[in-house]
Amino acid sequence: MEQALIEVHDLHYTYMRGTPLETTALCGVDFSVFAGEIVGVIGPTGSGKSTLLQHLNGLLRPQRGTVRVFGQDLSNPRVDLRAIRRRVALLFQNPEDQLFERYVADDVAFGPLNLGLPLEEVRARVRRAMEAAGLPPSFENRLTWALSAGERRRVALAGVLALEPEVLVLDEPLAGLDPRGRRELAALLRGWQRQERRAVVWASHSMEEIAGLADRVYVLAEGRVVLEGPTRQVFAQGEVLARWGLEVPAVTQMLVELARAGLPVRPTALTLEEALPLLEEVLR
Amino acid sequence: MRISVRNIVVAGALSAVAILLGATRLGFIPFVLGVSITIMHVPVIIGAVLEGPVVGTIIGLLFGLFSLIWAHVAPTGTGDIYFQNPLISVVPRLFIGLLAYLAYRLVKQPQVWPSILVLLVIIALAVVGPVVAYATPVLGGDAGLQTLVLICSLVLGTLALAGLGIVLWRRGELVAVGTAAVVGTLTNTVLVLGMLGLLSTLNWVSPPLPWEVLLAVGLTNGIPEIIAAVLITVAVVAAWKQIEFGRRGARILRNP
Amino acid sequence: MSDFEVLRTLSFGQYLPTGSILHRLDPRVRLTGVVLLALALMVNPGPAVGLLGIVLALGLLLLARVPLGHALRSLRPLLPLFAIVLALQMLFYPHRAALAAGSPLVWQWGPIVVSAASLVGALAMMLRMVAIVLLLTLLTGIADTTDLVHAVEGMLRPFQRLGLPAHELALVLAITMRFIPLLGRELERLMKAQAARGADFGRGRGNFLSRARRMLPLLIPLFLAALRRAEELALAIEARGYAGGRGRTCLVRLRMRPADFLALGIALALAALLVFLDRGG
Repeated sequence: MEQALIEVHDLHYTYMRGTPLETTALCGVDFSVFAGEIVGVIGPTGSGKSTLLQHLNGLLRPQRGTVRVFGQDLSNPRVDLRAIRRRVALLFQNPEDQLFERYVADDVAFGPLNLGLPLEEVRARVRRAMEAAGLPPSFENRLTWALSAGERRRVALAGVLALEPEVLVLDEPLAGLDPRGRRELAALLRGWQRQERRAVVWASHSMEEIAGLADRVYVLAEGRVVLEGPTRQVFAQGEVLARWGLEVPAVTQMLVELARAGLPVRPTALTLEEALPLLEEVLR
Repeated sequence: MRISVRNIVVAGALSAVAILLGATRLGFIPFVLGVSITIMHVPVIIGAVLEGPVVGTIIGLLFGLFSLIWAHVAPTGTGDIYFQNPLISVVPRLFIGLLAYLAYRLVKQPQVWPSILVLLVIIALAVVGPVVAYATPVLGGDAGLQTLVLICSLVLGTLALAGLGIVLWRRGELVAVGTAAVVGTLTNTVLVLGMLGLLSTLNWVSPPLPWEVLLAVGLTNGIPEIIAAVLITVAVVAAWKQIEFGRRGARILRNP
Repeated sequence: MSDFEVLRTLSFGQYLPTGSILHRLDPRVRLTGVVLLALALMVNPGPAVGLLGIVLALGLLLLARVPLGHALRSLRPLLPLFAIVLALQMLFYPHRAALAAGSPLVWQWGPIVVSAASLVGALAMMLRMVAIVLLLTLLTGIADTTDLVHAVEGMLRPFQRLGLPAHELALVLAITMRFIPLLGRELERLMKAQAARGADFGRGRGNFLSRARRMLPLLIPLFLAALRRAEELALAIEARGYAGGRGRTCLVRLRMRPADFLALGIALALAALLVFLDRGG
């Protein structure tokens, strides 16, 4: 049995514990990530996705339960968090807000410089990361403040890719982008994953987004994992998902309706590409 | 007094930043031996530079009030005992915005001579001050006060000379902003410590602080505070107004 | 426990809507009353004042139906300061002058003398601090941010005739209070995002300048976020036709009722009592 890169067991977390404003975000979550896979974390807003993700690189320490990353128990106060963050990189929601350097290349270099890498290596990583993020070399000397939001997001992405992590954790990476921006960024991310063969954790509230991407999926609601397993299996449970306010992709829903109407079509497709052959079969 | 919607909102936002800086440890940069430099007055300067003296004063007022309340509610050190007095925490902060703005406008003047004039006046005072203190019977006898005047004159004189050099060399937007930061921070330091000294002489605070202590604090804290304030103010304003400065191009790509 | 919980420090001052008589007073009276009492305490250095102040504050807290535990918990941050106050007073007090004036000697060790007057002074300060914090807890307990903003605006309104933009200033206050939790959350996110890239913020190694530079990844985005949101808010406000406070219809009209005047009068009387009571010390 393959060893998990990240193993989360019975994780609990409450914000502002002990104050009148305390809120429980996670109550007993089990979660794991294996090498080279794309794991989706789906859930409505407030389900605890971000909280879970922030445990994966030690930004949050477990209050109850364990988080093991590359074999290290993150409850141990002596764990070198910077070493962990070198291997597990987290891209926050709306990451374009975190840029602070004047020039693109400098901001992308921030991460590798923090790792203490030699200058030449940093420069090489900056170039590789910018390319992976779809930023041509001409962007190196552009002013970050003069870029569009979409371009700034790519700079932020490059900044995280430059860490060359073994696990890339994405918190709603496509949020706030227009459809074309979403398509482009999703393609970039998929390209990076395929090329580098790294593990990716992708959190989103949109099932449609995760449909064609993830190998396995966790469905989070109210701080708990309510469904878990290979993507197809999870997406087949439309009623459970609906109960939590989550809708299967439009395509799958359409197939379900067609099946209900009597057509001999199996509602297992998750994306348009998968649906087309099924429909063709039926129409013949 | 016309306060535009923009003024209102920026005043509110920057006051919130000042309060956040004060309430978290972000507003304090550790200096040496456990002493920290504060940058909580920087939003006041930025507000004055971006929106004018009224906004700067409003932010200063809110910053001062917060300072006052925080000194009561979450005191962190000996200084807080003094900041519980509004004369020390609020009144000096009202002037930061105004003076920072005036400095900014002065340097931004199309002609150079107003700045040069002001700086020469300051240098003149810095020379005359110690002469008066030592040679004439005005402050005669009080060696402490004489040294105080001497040191203050030295500091002011040096700053003014440096300012003269800068102003003659280059006078862009960011030099003006930097000057505003220097003046604003000086105002904060001088007025707060000055008020502490004044109230100590009047025995309105307990325990009263001697001028020597205040001077030492002023020098050891004041100089680094000016440096930090200039660094941050210029960085923020340059980013907000999208002004490029220094060498063009990413640092990381430059060959050493 | 997270290193990043910025807003935790600001959870002081919970509003407690218990519906007591104090809650039903005009917000201006609530604010002015407490401020008057606090000012009175600050002005009088005598020791008895602090004690009376505490008694008054506790009485008012009881009247406001604020749970005692909550009020006492707000005093916790003061404890370390008490030690400092005591130490400062013992070190820097003009003991010899006090002894010459007749204050009894408390302790002598070689050249160091400690007069009773200094200890009394320290005690006075500590009692005063406790009283003021209790009053502040009272104020935040009986008035939420909206009340406070209305109060400030109401009190500034008479000066509008002299050119003071009362409504605008009150709006600044409202926006500040609104932005504090907003930017606080933003700050938390920024700290985490930069930490995820391996940043450390000015702690530890390096000289002062490098530490200051290492705070820029937090400070610059924070200021930019504040200014950006300010810009968006300004557009939103203007888009809804806001054009200043003159001639603007008010949804909430503050009117002083007899109970309010009575409460104000009592507050004034109490404040005067505090100011003129036993000015020795």
